[in-house]
This record gives sequence, structure tokens and C-alpha cells, in this order.
Amino acid sequence: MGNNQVMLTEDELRRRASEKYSNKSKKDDFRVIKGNDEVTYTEEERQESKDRLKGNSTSGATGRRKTKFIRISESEYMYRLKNIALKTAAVTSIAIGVVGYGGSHIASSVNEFFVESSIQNELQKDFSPIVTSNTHRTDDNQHYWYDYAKIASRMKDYDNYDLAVLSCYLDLGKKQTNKVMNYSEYRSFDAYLQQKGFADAKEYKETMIDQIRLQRDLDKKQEELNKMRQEHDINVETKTEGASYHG
Amino acid sequence: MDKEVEVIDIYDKQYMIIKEVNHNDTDYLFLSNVSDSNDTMIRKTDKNDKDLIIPLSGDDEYELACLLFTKDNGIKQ
Repeated sequence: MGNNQVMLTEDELRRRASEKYSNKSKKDDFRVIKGNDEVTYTEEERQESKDRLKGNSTSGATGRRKTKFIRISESEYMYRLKNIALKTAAVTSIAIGVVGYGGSHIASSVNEFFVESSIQNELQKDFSPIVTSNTHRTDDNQHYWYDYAKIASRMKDYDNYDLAVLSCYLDLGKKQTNKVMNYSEYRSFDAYLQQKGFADAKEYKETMIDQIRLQRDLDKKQEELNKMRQEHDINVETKTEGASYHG
Repeated sequence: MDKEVEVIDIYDKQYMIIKEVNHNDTDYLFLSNVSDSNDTMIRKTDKNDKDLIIPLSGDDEYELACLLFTKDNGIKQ
């Protein structure tokens, strides 16, 4: 035993355990309801399990699927499912639960990430056939090369050329987009960014995706407005017909 | 009644895939250590190699994965 360590008596250990238990603040308790089950745990426990799950999830080694299976009991499975549910619910309740109190950075960043990744995915999906059809194997079959001129030419088919450039950047990255745009009037992606007034590719990507998101929100609102107008017109027509019938 | 679950190796430990949620061509895997139920983690499949299991890219994606799991399980806040 080191010099700084002190052996505690059994009574002292009990006292400390009891103190720790009584110090758990009820006002900070957090409830999670899943189906008919309700589980309560403290802010401290929530934070600890949240941090551990986050640390494990965002760093560390990779793995590979080997199609290996084991059998566990249904109750064991449900216990483990609930264990993860508690931890994830703790995170999302912070993200969602505080929106009503004037908005939350976490909530908005999650929503933005949701929309942003959806838009990115959609643009890449539309653009990838252009890349795939213009990707060729080298003679030795060891590498591949892009036909930049043909990709650049296909980009001109887009109604919105800026959208084509963004899609190319999202799918191929900055280095390859520079080479593709060598065949455009801009001569390079960097020159295009400069001409459009963007400091760098990151700012360009964020601004463009933000614009798409805003445009889609606007289209959605316009659609809702049109629907409301149509419903209003139908109501007015029905009332008018009713009035003339009775008249 | 028994349940069959898939197992993968990470850090030389075996993790069961308790839940799998797909979002934008990415499968998010919710894992539980076979020999320690408190050791849990979320991983995702690589878009170009679906058999490769990789860590999430950061805080935003971690919160997204939690949200996906919560939504998928119909948990109320």
C-alpha cells in the first residue's frame, strides 16, 4: 500500500456509500419511457454512460463482418437492447427536449446534419452514373482513370451548372474536380470558386447546401400555401353553390 | 425462446449486433460486447465496402445515430 492510501473501516465505507446515495439529486433525475417500461437514472449516470458510448463510437478500431452468429435468449437480447436504448435516448432527449425552450445547438446541428447528409447523398447518387460510365481501367488492369473531358461535357447537360459542379465535388473531391473543370470555361475548380466569391471549397459546399435546403423549404411552404388556397376556393365554391340552390 | 444475433470482432473482442438501422446507404450498427453488457458502441458500415465496420465520424454523426435508434424503436422523450 502506498503512503497516501488510507484503510477505511467498514462503518466509514457504509457512511460514504450512504452519503453518495443520498446526494443523488432527485431534481436532476431523468426518465426514459420505452413501451410500458419506465427507467429512472440520474444526470450524473446519464452523462457518464453517454460519454462512454460516444467515446467508443467515434474512435478506435475498425472491424469486418464475418457472417458469424451466436444464439442468446430473448430476455438477454431485450436487456441489451434496452441498455443501448437508455444511452441513446439520453442523448436524443437532450437534443430534442430543449427545443421548446428557445432552440438548441445540438438539436439544430443534428437536424442540419440530417438534411445535409440527405442532400449530399441525393446529389452524389444523381452524379455517380456520369462518373461510373467515364471511369476506365488501365491496360494492365491495376488502376483506373477518369475521362475528365467527357465528365465535364456531361455536366453541361445539367439545367443548373452550379449544381453539377457541387455534385462533382461531392462525388470526386477537390483534386479530381479541378481536373474535370480544366475542360470548362473556368479552367479549374479553384478559379470557379474564386469567380463565385468563395474563400474555399468548405465554404462553397456549406453555402450551396444551405441554399438548396432553403430553396426546398421555400418550395414546401409554397406547396402548402397552394394547397390551402385550393381548399379555400373549394369551400367558397361549395358555399356559393349552396347559397344559390337555397336562393 | 432463443434469438440468433450476428457477431463481429473489434479490439479482439466480440460484439453482438443488437440493432441495425439504415440511413442514406449507411448501416448504423448498435453493438453490445458479448461478455460485458455495459460495453456498448455504435459503428457504421463503409459506403464502398459494406463488410467493413468503421467508427462514426464525430459528434454530429454520433447524435444522428442515437436519433435514428431512438426513432426506430419508437422511444418517447
